[in-house]
Amino acid sequence: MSGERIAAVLGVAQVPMRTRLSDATYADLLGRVAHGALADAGVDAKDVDGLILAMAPTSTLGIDEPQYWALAGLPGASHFLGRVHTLASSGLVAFRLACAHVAAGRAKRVLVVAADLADEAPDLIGAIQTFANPFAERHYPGSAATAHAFQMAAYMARNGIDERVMAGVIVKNRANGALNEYAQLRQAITVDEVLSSPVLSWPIKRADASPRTSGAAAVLVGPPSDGQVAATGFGSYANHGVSGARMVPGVDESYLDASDLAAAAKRAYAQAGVGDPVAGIDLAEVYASFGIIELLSIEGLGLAGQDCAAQMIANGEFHRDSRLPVNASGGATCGSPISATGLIRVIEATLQLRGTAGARQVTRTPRRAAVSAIGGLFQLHDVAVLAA
Amino acid sequence: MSDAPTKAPAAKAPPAEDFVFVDAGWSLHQSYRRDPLQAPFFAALKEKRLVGVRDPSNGRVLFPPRSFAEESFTPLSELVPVGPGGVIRTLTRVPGRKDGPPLMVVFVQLDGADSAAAGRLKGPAVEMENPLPLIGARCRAVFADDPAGGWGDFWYQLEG
Repeated sequence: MSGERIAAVLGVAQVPMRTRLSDATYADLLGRVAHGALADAGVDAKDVDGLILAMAPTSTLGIDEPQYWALAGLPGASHFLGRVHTLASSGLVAFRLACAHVAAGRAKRVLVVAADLADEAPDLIGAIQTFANPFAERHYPGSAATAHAFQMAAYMARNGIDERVMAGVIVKNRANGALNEYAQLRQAITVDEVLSSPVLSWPIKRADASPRTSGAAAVLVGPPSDGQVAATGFGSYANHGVSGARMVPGVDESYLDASDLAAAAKRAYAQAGVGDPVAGIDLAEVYASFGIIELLSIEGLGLAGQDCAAQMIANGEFHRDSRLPVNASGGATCGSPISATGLIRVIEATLQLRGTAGARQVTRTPRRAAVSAIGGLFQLHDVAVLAA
Repeated sequence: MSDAPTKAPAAKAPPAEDFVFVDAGWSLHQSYRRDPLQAPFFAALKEKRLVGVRDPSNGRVLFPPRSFAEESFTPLSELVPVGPGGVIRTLTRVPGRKDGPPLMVVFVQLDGADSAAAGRLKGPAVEMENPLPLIGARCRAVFADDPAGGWGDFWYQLEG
């Protein structure tokens, strides 16, 4: 029973990611991508019987509870299924739930929507503190950069590699982003430029991180049919919330080695009938708001051996012209509206599988893609397998 | 997790362009009921002692102590001494504010504990150009002269 087509991606839409999108409110953005996805699918709004809003975190956006005021005009809104709030994995989790509703026969076509307007709140610091255990892990200065600097320092120390090698993933992504008309950062960058960008939380520098991004995305899901990209496997893995308890050799090192993402991938591959992912996966879109997250995700997805990803990128693997491109879109380090970023990974993989990714289409049109996203402080992990 | 903590315009700064914003700030106050083991944890700090809690289901000791182990779904109550020595598991160095000194934040697995916890490393090691050799190094908790019963009561220094 593995490898069956669970649900199809009928239509997709996104808007160009920008620091500011000056001509739209949050509700306008949702409407724009919702109707874009229906137009892509050739489906009427009246034929959509489910709607899921992906949105998180709440407080960073300066937007409170938009399910009460921003959804009523959207396709499927009268069948509103709910809101997903799992931080940067929200979009991928919402897609998984939409596919599950369709596969279970509870709905014929479910629309997933997400949008962020990053300039509506001054910063993310306070919101990011709320991801940490209030009794064990809020006594030190925490930020997104700090949280991932702990991972990057440990990765460099255990592999004996320096910041120049670590910068390779960013150089790769920024070159890819230059070809992506939807990317926010579209200028290629050199290793020296990565290294000379301001230190946020050593060893993480400004260029290692995604920018703050406004953007929106929508995906319409329906029953599988021939000729359409379909989801063939999903896997999730959630660990407990205290990161310091997941840094200990012999007990749990999942905060530093992405073994939790590997557990999610194992579940997804089993459902999709993927034995060896290196042989069975042709392309990956992994959510990674910092370069270190991409390295850990490549390893967690089984596309590289543990601790091998940085060196493999330095050797030319995972680039857009290689056998297994990762983040041919430029990935989240070229633009990442948090609520939508997981959905954008689904869209980019879909476009590549369709062979319609335009200037960013990879050389060898893939047959099967892996998509991943991680929510919170490496607490929530989701993996999907899509097939052409 | 999420995106970078860029300092966007401060909340009260005027918009950079001709945008008109509608104030949507939250008017909310939130507080949490304290974890029951925080009281004995902070009381021990006042006496310059570090305590963790043993999980009876697997024998592991968690630091700082908490009343429930998510890891094993077990209520916890048996406090045990940990430290003051330990091993640095990972680190980051945060630039100082307004030309102030940088801050070295380390996750330390204290002796006798099966989890790591964040703290501040002080001493010359903070200035090392490449601090990666500190990962795996031994360190020791150092207490303030007059502990107040809070996280600020102790920090770490390298051993030896």
